[in-house]
Amino acid sequence: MDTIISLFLIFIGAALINNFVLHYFVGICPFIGVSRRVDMAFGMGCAVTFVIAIAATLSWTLTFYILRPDAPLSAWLWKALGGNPGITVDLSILSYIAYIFVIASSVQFVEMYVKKFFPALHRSFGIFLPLITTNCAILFACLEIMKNLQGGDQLWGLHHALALSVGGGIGFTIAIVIMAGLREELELCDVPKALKGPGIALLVAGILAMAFMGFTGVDRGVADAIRTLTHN
Amino acid sequence: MSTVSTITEPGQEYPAPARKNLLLDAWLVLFLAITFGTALAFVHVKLSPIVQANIRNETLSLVPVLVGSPEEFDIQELSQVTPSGESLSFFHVTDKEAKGLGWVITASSIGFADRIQLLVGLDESASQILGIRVVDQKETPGLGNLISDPEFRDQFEGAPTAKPLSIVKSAPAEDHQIRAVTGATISSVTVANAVNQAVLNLKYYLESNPS
Amino acid sequence: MASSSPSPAERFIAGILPENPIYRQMLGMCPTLAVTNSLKPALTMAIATTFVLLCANISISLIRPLLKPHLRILVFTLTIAAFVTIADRLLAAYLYEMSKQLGPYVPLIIVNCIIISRCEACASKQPLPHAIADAIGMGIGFTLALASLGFVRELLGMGSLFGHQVLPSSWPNWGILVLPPGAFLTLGALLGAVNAWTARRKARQLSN
Repeated sequence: MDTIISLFLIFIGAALINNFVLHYFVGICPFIGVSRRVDMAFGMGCAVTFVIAIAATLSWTLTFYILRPDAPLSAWLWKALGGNPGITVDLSILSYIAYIFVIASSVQFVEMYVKKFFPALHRSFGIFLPLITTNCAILFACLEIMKNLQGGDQLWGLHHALALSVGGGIGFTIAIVIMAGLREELELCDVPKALKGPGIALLVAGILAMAFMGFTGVDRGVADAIRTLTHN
Repeated sequence: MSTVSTITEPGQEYPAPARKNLLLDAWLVLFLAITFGTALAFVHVKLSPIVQANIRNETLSLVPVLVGSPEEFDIQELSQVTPSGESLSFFHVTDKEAKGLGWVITASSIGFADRIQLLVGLDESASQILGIRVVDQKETPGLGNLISDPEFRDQFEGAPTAKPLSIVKSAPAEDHQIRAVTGATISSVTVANAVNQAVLNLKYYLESNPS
Repeated sequence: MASSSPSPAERFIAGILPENPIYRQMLGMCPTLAVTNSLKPALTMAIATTFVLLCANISISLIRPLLKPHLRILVFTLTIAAFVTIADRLLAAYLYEMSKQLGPYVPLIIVNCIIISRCEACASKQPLPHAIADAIGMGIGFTLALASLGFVRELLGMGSLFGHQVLPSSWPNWGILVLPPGAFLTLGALLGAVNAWTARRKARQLSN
């Protein structure tokens, strides 16, 4: 039960309370630049969610078995090569390089796969795939996973990593779709000339972020409710 | 955005290389990888001891402050697994003759926004709180983050641990009562609960390891 | 802009305002919004980014004749990621407090569009002096943008600058500016102000 609650907390935290876009400001470029039509925004959101889940799985595996301090695979290799067993093997200095290549290659892989097996899907949101490599949301998810694998009492499992990344991807989709809807309406408004385009988009995003602040504490309330229900 | 879209689609602008040249083409990438790998290894060897020391000092520099800033002291690091399976770290502060001066315990609990992490200083018999410090928090600026201010945290100094601490919203009448930060009851209660849990953990530790 | 190649001095000036990465090109928004709730982290971030931009521009410009077109993005990414790792370690070793506060936003410099777009648009085509001037100009432009945001948010949000109280204590701190929504609101307002100012200047030049 506790595992389910903790997964739920991570998921809600990433999707709503600490929304990737409106709280952590990752994935802002497409949020301001691309989100002008709801259907395009939704396509972009789906593509990001898909890639983020794959990149998170890969980077969790890589971090857990190879990159983190005293990781099993690299420690074993160190011993097999006759290294001093007293030294803790720590490859975490390579993590940033490793993550960016994991992201780039999973984007490539997803694009090839989707193009070959789901041509219709590729036509609808394939154009967003190459853009995703420079989307900070994905690297941010990898970094959060790394932070929770650096030691301490509770290391994240793959399920935690997936909860965070899927939650983050859904949070990104929610934010970008709402924003696109608002901007479709803004096209019809008489905006002061200096604020046209990104200016007004940022102001609207600010108000949206205020609204999302209202979610603070929701996770704990719901978790408490689940706990009392299961105890009774 | 136009720059980004052109640079991220290299495959469409240039023909793919012939297969036999693949390694020959990639020599620059391999060379750079080796160069940067060496540079990073050098940076790691040079800087990681400093980084590790920074991380340790952050906690250790607060430990003596929390037991009344003795002039000469030794710090022992201990750890204990609680009945609920959490692992906790303790610091036992002693003077040069190994006479105990007090304990410092890490404590944490989920606050309004995120986890609040504390260090709690207690006297040798765990009967009185000597002080608390907020190590990490992401509470609302201007409201919840005032839990780090001396005005709030100094109330904990000298509080007895016989009864669990409780948060009140008016001037405290008894010495186990702590006045909440205005507008941040949840953050205040979180801190009090974390301190109470830390006291229980230390008492549990002292019972299971009678010296 | 690549057609008539400008001199190093022109490139330097271009980065500061005419092609300012934040106010004109809207690149690198993530750190701009995330770390500017006060001046100190904003400036630390700007310096770290400028360091990476300068190092990356220098390396790319030096190996420019060897670059294979289809591998260049790979080379850029590798170079940037390596320098970001170095910057991250340096911060953790010598400015630990700042490095903790900036958290994941230091490694996120890797995907900062400013750097990769400067590598692509300038360093991979221009000789060393141009690349250096371009990096420093862009770096100063980025620093000015971050500092302006940090200045407004810290002054109005907490009444202080660099952590020192400057406004009288009767100032009701606009707490919202320090919170995430304040980042969007401040940048939106500043962007509007910069646009209005440029429009007025252009109009005056035309009338003269």
